[in-house]
Amino acid sequence: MYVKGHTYRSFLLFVGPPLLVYGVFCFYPTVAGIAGAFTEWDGYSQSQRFTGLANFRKMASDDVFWTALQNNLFLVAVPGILMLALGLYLAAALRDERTPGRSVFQFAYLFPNILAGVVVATLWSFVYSPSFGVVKGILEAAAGALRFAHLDSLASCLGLRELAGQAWLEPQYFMRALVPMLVWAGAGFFVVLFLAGMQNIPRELYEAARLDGASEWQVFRHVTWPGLSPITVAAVTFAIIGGMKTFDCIWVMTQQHVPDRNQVLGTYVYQQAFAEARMGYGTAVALVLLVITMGFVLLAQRVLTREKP
Amino acid sequence: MRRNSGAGLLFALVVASAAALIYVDFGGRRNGSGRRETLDIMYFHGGYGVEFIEDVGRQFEALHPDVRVKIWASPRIAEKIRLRLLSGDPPDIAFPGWGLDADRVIEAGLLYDLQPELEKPSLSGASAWEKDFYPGILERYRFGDRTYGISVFYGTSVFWYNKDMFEKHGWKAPATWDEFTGLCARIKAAGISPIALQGRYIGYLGGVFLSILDKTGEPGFVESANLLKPGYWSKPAVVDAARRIQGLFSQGYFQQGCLGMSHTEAQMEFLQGRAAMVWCGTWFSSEMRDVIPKGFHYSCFGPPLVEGGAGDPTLVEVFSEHAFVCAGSKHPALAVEFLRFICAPKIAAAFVRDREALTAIPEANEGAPESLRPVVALLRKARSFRTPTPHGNPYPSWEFVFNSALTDLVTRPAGGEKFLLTPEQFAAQLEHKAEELRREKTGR
Amino acid sequence: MRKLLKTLVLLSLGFWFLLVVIPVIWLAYSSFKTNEAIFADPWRPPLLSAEASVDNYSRAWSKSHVGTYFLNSVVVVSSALFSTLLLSAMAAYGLSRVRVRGRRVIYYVFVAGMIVPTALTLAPLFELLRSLSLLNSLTGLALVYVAFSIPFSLLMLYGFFASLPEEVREAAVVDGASEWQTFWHVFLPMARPGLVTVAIFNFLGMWNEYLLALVILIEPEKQTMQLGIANMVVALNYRSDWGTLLATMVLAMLPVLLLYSVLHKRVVEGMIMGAVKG
Repeated sequence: MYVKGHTYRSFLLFVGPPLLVYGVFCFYPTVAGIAGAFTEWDGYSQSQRFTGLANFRKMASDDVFWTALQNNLFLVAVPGILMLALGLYLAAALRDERTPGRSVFQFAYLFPNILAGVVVATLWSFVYSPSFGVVKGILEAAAGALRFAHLDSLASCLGLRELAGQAWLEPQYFMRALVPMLVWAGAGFFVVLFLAGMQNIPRELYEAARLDGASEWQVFRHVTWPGLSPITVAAVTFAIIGGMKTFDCIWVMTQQHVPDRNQVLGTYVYQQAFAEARMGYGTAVALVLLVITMGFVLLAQRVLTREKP
Repeated sequence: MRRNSGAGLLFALVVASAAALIYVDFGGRRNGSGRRETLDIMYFHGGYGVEFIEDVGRQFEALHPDVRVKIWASPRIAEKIRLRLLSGDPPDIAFPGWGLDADRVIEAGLLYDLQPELEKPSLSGASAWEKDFYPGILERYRFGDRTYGISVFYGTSVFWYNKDMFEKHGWKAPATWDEFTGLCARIKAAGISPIALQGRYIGYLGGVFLSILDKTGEPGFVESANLLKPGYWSKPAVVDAARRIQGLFSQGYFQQGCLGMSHTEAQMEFLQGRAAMVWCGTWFSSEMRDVIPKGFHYSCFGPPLVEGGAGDPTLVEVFSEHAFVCAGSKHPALAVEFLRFICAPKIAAAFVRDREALTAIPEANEGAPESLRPVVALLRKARSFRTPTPHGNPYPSWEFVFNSALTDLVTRPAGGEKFLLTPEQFAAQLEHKAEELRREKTGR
Repeated sequence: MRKLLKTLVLLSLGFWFLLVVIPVIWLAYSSFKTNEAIFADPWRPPLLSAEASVDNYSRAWSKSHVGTYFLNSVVVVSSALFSTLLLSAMAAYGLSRVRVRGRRVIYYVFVAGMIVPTALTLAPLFELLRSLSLLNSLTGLALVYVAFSIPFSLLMLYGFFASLPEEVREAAVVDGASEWQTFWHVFLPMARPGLVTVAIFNFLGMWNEYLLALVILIEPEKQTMQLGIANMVVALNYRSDWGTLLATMVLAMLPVLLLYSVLHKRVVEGMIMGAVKG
């Protein structure tokens, strides 16, 4: 019904402006970034040298890079598993509409997830502070309670007093200290995700299982768990991407001064590109980060979807 | 056709928000004071506070009615200075504090040569401005016949100690390393933590380490080691220094949890009487002035001498917070004028008096307060100086390598007794890394 | 036995609830305490008037420039958000309804932008904005936000636009409407629920964004809320002014909290959609 030329014009009218903005400020930098990974540039001078694979060879022998990668893997695996498990558990517990306070719980659980990484990190810096942190308070309260109940020896056995004064943010504990914070902030998302997934499971299956006299656990194992598998794939994907992308919270918690052993790839990219004026190398690390993340996601999806009956 | 309530609203929002954006972004650029020129200064907000420079700024404005002095102060200003240099929009004057690799910036031609100005007469009446400063203090950023950095604030690191606590227990400031460790043992036996450490910024501990090397290595040892001359990091002096440092940890002379403490936290521990000593620069009294409890008396002693060492016993490590004028500045002459002003002995003397810290101008330091007299004496006696980074700093990443190794030297994994590195491994690792860096540089 | 299990489960739900809520509540009431009160006893709510103070907020707003940061964030996020909505809707309409050869390719070009990690674009973006004189400008940041948000928003809206019946469009044409008018007056209003969800999703992302703002905004007057907090963490560690920091955090959280409370369901929807499509 429309003239061909007319249609091209309207296409341009609608798609042109978005394409322009996207092309200039997102697509072009990405392509330039990928190209830049093969150059060397300090960012000050106008000379950007093409160096081929030099950056990648350097990366292979760069200790800090491998440490950062290790840390990223840690942050994918540990908080990831904890969040998935916790999310699954809480979602299963909340699935039943008769659970009292259900909507309140749902509301509260997701809340930390919408906070900025910066806010979460700052808040947890207080929580962990050896001077007046929450953790210290809890441990001291616990010690006090035990003393009150004349269970002093138990308290000293657990070393509660020592734990209370501990500086959780010391370099050697730092990565592990991140785990509770990340789980606290992220679990709610997985609760919501799994709940949505559970809602997609046809009620008839549940009713049938109930009629067959199945216990709660059996219902979970044979109805809920298989039904969730597409959502599980999405959840795992998110856990992987989240763990690999970490930047904000580490940057803020170390007060913008990350020691080598606690680097992750995200902070390492920024530090190399801007703090150490090695833009080419930093971009190369970012490219490797992208490739590794994609690799993991694809691998995870491959593994998980194959398990479907 | 349906009414376009939704679409119209969206359009209105797009336009309104865009207008607000443009207004806030560009409209706010009012030079409120109505003055013609703005002197753009980026300043490291550290131990010396901002009051002094802001005061000098005001005085300068009073003398130059058509100039507005704009000061941007931040603890992480070095990062911002770097970004502005990168973006081609530099400030007029930069006081980066620590954290800016000035040598690279100089190599890229981004700083202004101050040598001609230094040869002109100074505000104090000296025949050349350079003569106002301590001899040799401007060498760090002098390359051939060009000088890029002016030293304004000047300090060195010392051990501050709790005077009242020492008097009460009859302890005396040690002069040698053996006296020092003996003192620490006695303090520990009295149930007090001997030393507070700013573990998160391991560079402080690095300062103690290097001060040992200053005395045990031959003259110029540390400078050569920092220049990564072959073989220096594997010398026995390094292993010895590492052993002494590690010894302090294994004897428990540092507080528990110190590796996670920031410098203000550790210094607070000292001020609250939970530690008897703290290693800090002469900016200590200036930095902690708001939180020093009433009636708290402190004094300092220089890094203990390691007896029998091959080095110059009078050597003093020098920290100077240099000021630079950026080559892209729109009014370099005005910027230099400001620097002359702030370095004028009378002006600088106000800093020494009010902030209880030192400058690079000997005449200004005459009025140093009681707590700093030991340091001024040290400075007067010193026959040689050393800066934290070597001249030209050809290996800027060395600082990170060293700090990393030092952290491992003193870290004991959760609850264990063994350190991550032995002194020998420490030295070997550093020599190995130095070799890598040397090779990387020549291989390029 | 069943009863016991149920009670335990309920208790565990309650326990996690407390863990989530307590730090936030602590933050809220501590932000009203004076610094001395915070140091003296961090746990105590400010019950005595000596301990309570609104000073933190006024100090944060003016002296610590939180007012400026807040304004900057509002201005950047709102214009980026609305522009994103408009542009993505336009693109979704154009790609789904205007039958033109090669539109699939263009679609994939857009969607490819979703997997881009921001870290990879940092250096080129810095250089690009510098050459356009948009470095250190809120406008530059807003443009970048729009560019990065279009792929996902387009993806979410495409389904909406594609599913709307063709008859409506034909009817509009019969009425004499041009392509733009059809889009503007007919399709856009119909896509409203989708737009709201996309808006919420983008708002959260943009308001909380940190890395791009860190690289693009340099001067103190241009910092957004999140940058401001991060900077204050460093600066206040020198001054031990925790009260102001806590007040700042509360101020940073308020818009998001408000949005979340009012539009809770939509937020959840948005996140699910994001997860499923992503």
